[in-house]
Amino acid sequence: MKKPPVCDGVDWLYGDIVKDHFFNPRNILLNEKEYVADGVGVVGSPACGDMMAVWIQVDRGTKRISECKWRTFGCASAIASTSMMSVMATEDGGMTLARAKRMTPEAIIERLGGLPDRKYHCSVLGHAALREAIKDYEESL
Amino acid sequence: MSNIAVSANKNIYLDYAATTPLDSAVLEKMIPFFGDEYSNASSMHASGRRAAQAMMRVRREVADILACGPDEIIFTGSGTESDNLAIKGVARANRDHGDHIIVSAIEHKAVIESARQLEKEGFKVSILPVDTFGMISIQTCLSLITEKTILISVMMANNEIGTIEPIKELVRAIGAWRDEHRQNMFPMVHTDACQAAGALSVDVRELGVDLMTLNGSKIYGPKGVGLLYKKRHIRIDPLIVGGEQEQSLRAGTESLPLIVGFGEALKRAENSRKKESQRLTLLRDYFTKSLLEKIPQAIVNGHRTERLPNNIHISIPHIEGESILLMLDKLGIEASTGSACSAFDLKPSHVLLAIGQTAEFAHGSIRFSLGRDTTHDDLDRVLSLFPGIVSRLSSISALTAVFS
Amino acid sequence: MINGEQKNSYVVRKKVIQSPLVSTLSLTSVDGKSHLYHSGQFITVYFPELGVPEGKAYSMSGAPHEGGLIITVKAMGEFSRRLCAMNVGDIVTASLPYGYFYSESDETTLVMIAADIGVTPFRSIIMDSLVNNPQRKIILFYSSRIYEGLVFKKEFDQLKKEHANFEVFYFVTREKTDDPDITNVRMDVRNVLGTDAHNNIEAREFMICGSISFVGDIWKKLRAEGVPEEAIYTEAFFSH
Repeated sequence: MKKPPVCDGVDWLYGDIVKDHFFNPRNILLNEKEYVADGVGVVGSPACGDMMAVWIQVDRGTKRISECKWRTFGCASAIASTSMMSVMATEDGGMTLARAKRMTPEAIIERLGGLPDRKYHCSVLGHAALREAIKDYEESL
Repeated sequence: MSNIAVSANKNIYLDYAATTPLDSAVLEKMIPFFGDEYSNASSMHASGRRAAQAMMRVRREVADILACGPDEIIFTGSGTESDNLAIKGVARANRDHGDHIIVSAIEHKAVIESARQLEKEGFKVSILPVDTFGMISIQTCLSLITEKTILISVMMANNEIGTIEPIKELVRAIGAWRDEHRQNMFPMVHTDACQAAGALSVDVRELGVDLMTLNGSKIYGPKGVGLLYKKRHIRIDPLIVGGEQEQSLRAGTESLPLIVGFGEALKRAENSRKKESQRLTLLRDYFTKSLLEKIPQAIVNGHRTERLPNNIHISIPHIEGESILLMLDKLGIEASTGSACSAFDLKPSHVLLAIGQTAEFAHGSIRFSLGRDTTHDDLDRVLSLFPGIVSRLSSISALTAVFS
Repeated sequence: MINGEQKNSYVVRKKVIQSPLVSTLSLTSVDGKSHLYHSGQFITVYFPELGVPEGKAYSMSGAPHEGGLIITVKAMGEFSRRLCAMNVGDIVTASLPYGYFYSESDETTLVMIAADIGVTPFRSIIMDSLVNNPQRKIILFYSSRIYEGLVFKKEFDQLKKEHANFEVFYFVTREKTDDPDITNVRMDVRNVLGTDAHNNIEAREFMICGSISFVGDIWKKLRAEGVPEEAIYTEAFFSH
């Protein structure tokens, strides 16, 4: 019978924060059919192995993002990136749209504690999905 | 969403196709050569002669299993090195006859990259396509052969999707082509049998191949040792030159412990082959059937019957391979994937591309490969946990979302 | 479907070989339609014959008023080598213009920081800004490993002479050159922020473009000097 290996804390591919957002993702939207969104953004494609959908709600008064829900098809980095992006967009009362547009992949990666370079595009896509949702909202006004 | 349970139980290793644990009986045989029997087999003194004798013993035992002469065996440092030596060494040494090589689309990267290197040297390479089950067509292969073809390489069994290729029939067909075209030797046939050893017969007389690659790490032997069988009289350019070891075909002080370990592992693998294949086949079929029942949207990759006894390879739509693996890993289950996101170069598995896998499925592929320690209970545990992983990732996936 | 994912056919109208590895291609839509874009945006080029569904992004180096879609490509991988080997009349499949790499303000001083071929979107932004917003102060910090890697240098030097509001600073890190304009050291963020580093940060916006590690490194260093996140735009060139 095999003993479970001793883990010395130096892990595989991902740090603790990334793993946390992968195993316990925040703000997933499970009931998308009933959800009323102010803006929806979809980026990526199954062919590319990464696809993200983001639904936002914007507080009319404060112009801040009150909710940022999502679904992601992709690897752990993709799932963790969208989850962290959604947390950044809604924490502390929520980002204003102007501030949310200024979110960068670098900021997402910093909050995640780092990602391997070859996973950089996952954060790019996370940021793009949010931008598309904001664009969808602004075009509907 | 609910938390993922962490495994309190033992690790379930289902990645035997990647590598196997070292059999303790094999280690026993290796230890003296890490200890008191440390001499160089090329040395003239008594301890050196003992080392040389030990090597000769292993060489003879391996030759018996392969049904070839001891002089037809070249020990190398890995299966990859053997593949490199077979493809590049044979091509370069026989260039006066021709400059055309055929390799199957699902060969191990060691074969494909070796062929690519030869292209840069001016050789012509044809890729022999496979069908959706990963099987080559002998007819198609024959249609690719020209008067300049010197070497054809088709693996005995594919490491990813488990498909077993018709090597014996291929060799016969090539033999018939040679007779028809009054060719003595060309084209020659090489087969990478790293995954096949321990499951299929590696008797080169029966197979009829001219060259064959084997390695230690897939048969419960040590890593860092491989073998190339080369029929007597085939000219080959060594890759690694220096001393006269391995008939000057592969220089370097031989690693006695690794070679002895390899020999012992191969012996054991051959002895238990029939029984172990039967046992694994039953487990494999049980596992595959149960997986498909629990996850009806999954598809099986590779041939259903002409397949390695220990290989299960499936693709699941809407979810991605690396994320499946990480969730399995957290539960103590170790498997592998061919998804692009998991590869260092972000390219999807060339094997999945070669069998025409669509993008939707290619990203969600998982390989489970069974081995000596795999029990029915292990598989039941995986079967009880895997559907939960699939449904969790499916609910997270954007591909299952409905957009109004 | 968003612009970045629509596929369009373009024909190469003009090709300029800037250096052995770098070529500029002017593309127009085969169907004759012109596609508006912001300076700083890119198109994604596809080569399905390579057997991969993904494309690679190339920033427009030409400003919208220069007509068509002009991209400048350095031959470094399969896609870029194919692009550089194309000739006038060849057809290429690519997306419509896409991306968010452009300043949303008109008034701030724009500080652009580029490494090697990362300068491409900045040429578009500079040309556009000098024509459409001549009051705006714009500065380019451009780093390359070798002197020849400074694409568009002659053009930038000329623009510097003609426009008081445009400054450019070059850094060559692996070679020694005699050109007095070149600083033969690694670009330091303190060069970028200047002597009044911590004053006037609010009036400035920073845009960084280059490899993933270059962009990440400069981003971290700017942040460490107190530049707020909202003042930094990034575009990393990566293979996907």
